[in-house]
Amino acid sequence: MGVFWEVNGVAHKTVATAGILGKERMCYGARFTCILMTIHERDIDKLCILARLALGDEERRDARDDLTRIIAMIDSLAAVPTDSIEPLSHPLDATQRLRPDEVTERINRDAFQRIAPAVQDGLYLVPRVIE
Amino acid sequence: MNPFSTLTDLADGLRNRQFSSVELTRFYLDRIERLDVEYNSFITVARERAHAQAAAADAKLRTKAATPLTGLPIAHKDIFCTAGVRTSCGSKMLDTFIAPYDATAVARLDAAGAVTLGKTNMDEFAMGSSCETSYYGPVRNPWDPTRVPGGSSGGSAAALAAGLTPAATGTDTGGSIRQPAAFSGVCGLKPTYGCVSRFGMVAFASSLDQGGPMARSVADIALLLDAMAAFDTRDSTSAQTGHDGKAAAAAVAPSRKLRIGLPKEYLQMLTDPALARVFDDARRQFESLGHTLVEVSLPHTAAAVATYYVVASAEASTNLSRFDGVRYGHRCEAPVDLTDLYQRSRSEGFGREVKRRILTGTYALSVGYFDAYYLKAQRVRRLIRDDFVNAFASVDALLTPTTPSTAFPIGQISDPVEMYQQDVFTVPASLAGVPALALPSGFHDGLPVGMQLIGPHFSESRLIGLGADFQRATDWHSRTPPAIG
Repeated sequence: MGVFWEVNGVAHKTVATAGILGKERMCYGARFTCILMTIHERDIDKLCILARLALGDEERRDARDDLTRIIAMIDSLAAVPTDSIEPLSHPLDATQRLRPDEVTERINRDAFQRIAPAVQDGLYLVPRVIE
Repeated sequence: MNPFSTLTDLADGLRNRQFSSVELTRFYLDRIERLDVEYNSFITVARERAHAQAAAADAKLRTKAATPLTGLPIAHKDIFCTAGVRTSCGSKMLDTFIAPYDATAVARLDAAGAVTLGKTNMDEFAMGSSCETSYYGPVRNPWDPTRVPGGSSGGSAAALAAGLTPAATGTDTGGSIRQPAAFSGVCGLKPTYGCVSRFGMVAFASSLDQGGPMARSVADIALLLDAMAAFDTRDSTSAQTGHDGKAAAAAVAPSRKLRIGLPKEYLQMLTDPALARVFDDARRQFESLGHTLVEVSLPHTAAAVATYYVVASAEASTNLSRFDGVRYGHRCEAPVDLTDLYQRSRSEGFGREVKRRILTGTYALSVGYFDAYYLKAQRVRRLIRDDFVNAFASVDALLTPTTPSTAFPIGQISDPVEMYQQDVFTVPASLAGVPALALPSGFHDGLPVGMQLIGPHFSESRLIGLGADFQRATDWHSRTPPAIG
């Protein structure tokens, strides 16, 4: 991640420091403002590992360019004051419904395994995990 | 038979024995076969299932057990699981997936006697605003086949506009029912979050996803909603006291005189003067019907698109982690180890936009960024929700444009951020979880223009009463595309 900071009015580039665009931060008595963030292909590689995706060279370059633009767009959220505002995870603020602890599901292994790519004797087949 | 008939008219035809459900079903199936090569609005046509359901409906129509929907054809967005009929979600990942069960929305419409014609095309995993990201190729807008029908429920919208089905289902996460309804000149309702069960609907962003009806008139929307909406124990966020079940009654009752708010932030963002004129005419129409229109403010509107793309992408990256090449869906050839199996199955199975959203969501949820993006977006989401709650303290409903433009040419928008801006008028209601009814408001250069009525949580029947009031006085919803057989 390339993060460009303005330190007391002068632009600097730092490496591997997370910044939120436009947000000011005081550090060592100086005022740091994040002014630009760029995504590198190694950042894409890290995200790909986390998301279990493998991209070709062209796809990686496109992903880097697209993500740089998308992140610049979502960074605009930093400008909205949200002090003392609670996060909203359900639009009606509903909480998880509980039910009696009773068995309600029917096990239908054959039907579910009919759509699996590879099964044998009621088991899903995957490449060898333990040598 | 007129392919552009409303459900209400077709139901009369069935009851008066002008035609049978088998004849009606065959009529639409033949139109799909003859005309859909042009529009690509269906991914799968369920001929045999449709004939069997139609024959059963005809038997039921001869008894007293028939409901208002018995024998009427419908098309389901290919995101709803249908037992025995492929559910692809517009993705190579699910190209061969045949669900072992029905989605609740499908099961409820089946139980009401509706006849499933087939499954409609859509943006891959509902991620898109143009139906260009489908693995099965783009959908073409019947009003101008060089243009998109909108997305992600664009197949349902185009099939309605071309007279290939009289009703359809769609799903709306950030506008995916309403925006294609606007671009294709049809009606669509995004119900309150929790109103229609999400069980059996392939998940995209679980705190936003909501299924709903699409049709040619608001009265038809009402018939479908009353059948689809109900509490479902199999959806953990299904609302226990949700829809009042009185939408169909509201559609035919004289509308109460209401106070309708015009959000000034939306009108400031409607920069196309031609669309502003169409909106103004619609506003005056509501006034002439005796409703009172007042300006209101939803101050956090400008932050909605960014908020939406953080929340939706984060939830999508989590939901789509289930596609691993093991239990169902695409699996790569000859994986060397488990990581290779996961990575190649996913990379081959997902298209570009889906990968883009997964990476964005993974970024927003990763260490060091979770607070700055996901939690921040959830805080802004509360502000956006509260904007609506505050507005509804003084007005009964809101009237806004549905889209900032009419349907754009296929291939025109390649920048993802520019595409995301298409959702500027639809994502706020999604984030707030409130219902929004999209309906045609006029035309510009031969292309449909849409508006939406937004109301408080579970005010679907009120919005339907208001929309039906508008449609009794206007005929925009009855116009059909030129040069369709």
